[in-house]
Amino acid sequence: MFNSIICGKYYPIQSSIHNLNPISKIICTLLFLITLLFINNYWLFGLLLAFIIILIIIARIPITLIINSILGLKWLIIFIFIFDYLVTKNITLAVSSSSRIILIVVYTSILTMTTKPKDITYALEQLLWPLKLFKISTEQLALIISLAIQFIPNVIEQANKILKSQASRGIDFKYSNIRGKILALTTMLVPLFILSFKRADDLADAMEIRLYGYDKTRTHYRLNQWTTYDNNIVVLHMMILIIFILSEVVWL
Amino acid sequence: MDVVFDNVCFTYNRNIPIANEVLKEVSLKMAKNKINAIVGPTGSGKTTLVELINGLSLPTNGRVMVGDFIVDHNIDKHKINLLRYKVGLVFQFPEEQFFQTTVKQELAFGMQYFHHKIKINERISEVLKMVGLNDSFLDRNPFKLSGGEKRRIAIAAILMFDPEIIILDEPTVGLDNGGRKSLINLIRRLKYFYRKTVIVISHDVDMLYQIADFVHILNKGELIASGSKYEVFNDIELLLENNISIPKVAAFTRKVYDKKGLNLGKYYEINDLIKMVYKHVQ
Repeated sequence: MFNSIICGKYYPIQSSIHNLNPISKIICTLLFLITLLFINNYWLFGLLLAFIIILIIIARIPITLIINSILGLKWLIIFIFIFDYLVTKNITLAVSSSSRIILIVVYTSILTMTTKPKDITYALEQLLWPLKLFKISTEQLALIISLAIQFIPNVIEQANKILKSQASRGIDFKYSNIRGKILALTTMLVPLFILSFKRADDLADAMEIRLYGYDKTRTHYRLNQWTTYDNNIVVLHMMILIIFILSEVVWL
Repeated sequence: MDVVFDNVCFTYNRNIPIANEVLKEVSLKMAKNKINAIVGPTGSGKTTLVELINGLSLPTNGRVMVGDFIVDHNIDKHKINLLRYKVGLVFQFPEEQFFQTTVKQELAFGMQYFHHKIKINERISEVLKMVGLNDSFLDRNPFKLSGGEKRRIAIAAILMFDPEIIILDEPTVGLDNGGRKSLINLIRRLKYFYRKTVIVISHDVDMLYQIADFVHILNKGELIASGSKYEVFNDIELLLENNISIPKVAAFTRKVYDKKGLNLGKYYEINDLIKMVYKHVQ
């Protein structure tokens, strides 16, 4: 059931997007998310979608992978659409909300498919440096976020194994009615939590064995270089943000 | 029920770039009321093969015949549920198969939505006895049992449906010697006493040499060999080519034959072989 959700899985090929500095990619993701917040116009959504498609082509990610990850969240998207419509009674707003979710999923999939988890950790650690002024360990924070992203495919794999076990005992999520599906999902939670906590404990032990400790100063094995391409992609995203906000204002 | 694979192919992630063909035109037969072993290196498709038997996965091409059931990509979903009453599958790690916080609730899981409570309680006591446990386990937390006990509870949970075929995926992994021995006895009881067809996936070739009737070797999704355990496990070259361990008894008897030309005969348990060698030495 969860096979189509591939958010978090790195897609190992060479492309211009793969070679960008992870810091620039995270900055661009933030700029993109801010852009999404400000627009409500279908044409602008369409242009953003076209921009994303160009990025996917440059990143050489198969479009079927992206479509599969959207389809994996289809029930969430449908739920958001219906919920928004019922609350606001405005079909435009409902479509906007659903479109935002789809674009967020697609863009963040590009980020995680083109950036290794350790590079995401590095980028987050660098970008969160202002928190050091408040004596917050940015290394730890970045590692927590990176491990959370890395664990998504593991949790999905675990969930699939549990669903298969249930199916062999007569509760098949795939072929059940709504009652059966709810039962399958609720009874999945107990083993999923227990196994996830156990895996987290094992990981913590493994890190301690390898002398990971918050009192020690850590360096980086490899330093990522900032190039002209990174400048260009960040400037491009800033321009998109400004242009789209202005377009939204003009349209209004 | 016999299980027959007829030119079965299976591909994960079909039609997308990361497609992976795991089974390639596999045709084999697993005999009824026998213990059938499936061996092969990691990633050879063993688990996928057995998942096809109870419909957890459906073949991309070909079909699997399980008694009167035909499992192919057109099978009706109601038939799959009926099939799962006949074919029980116990996965490698018991923790992934527990959904409740007491053994009683765990064993009743699945059946409680289809059967009356009184019948379930009777059946729970029966299956605990079948796996060598008793009613004192009913209120215990299955996640907190020992490895061997967890394994047995997982098997008991499948036996609740009284399946004709039981599939065990790596049943002895992580068990100590005592746990391993009691599990081997349980598998024998399932065959001889309860007349089940047992299918075992394992890397523990010494165990398989003791208990299996037929052995099927898979490698890279292809069926390499299929036959009686004596034929397959005594073909040392075949085992080495496919990166499969050689059972100690087979290795020893082969060495004696190569060095001394002496045929020690068919022994499947190391203790019987030692007794025979001791007798000769005496």
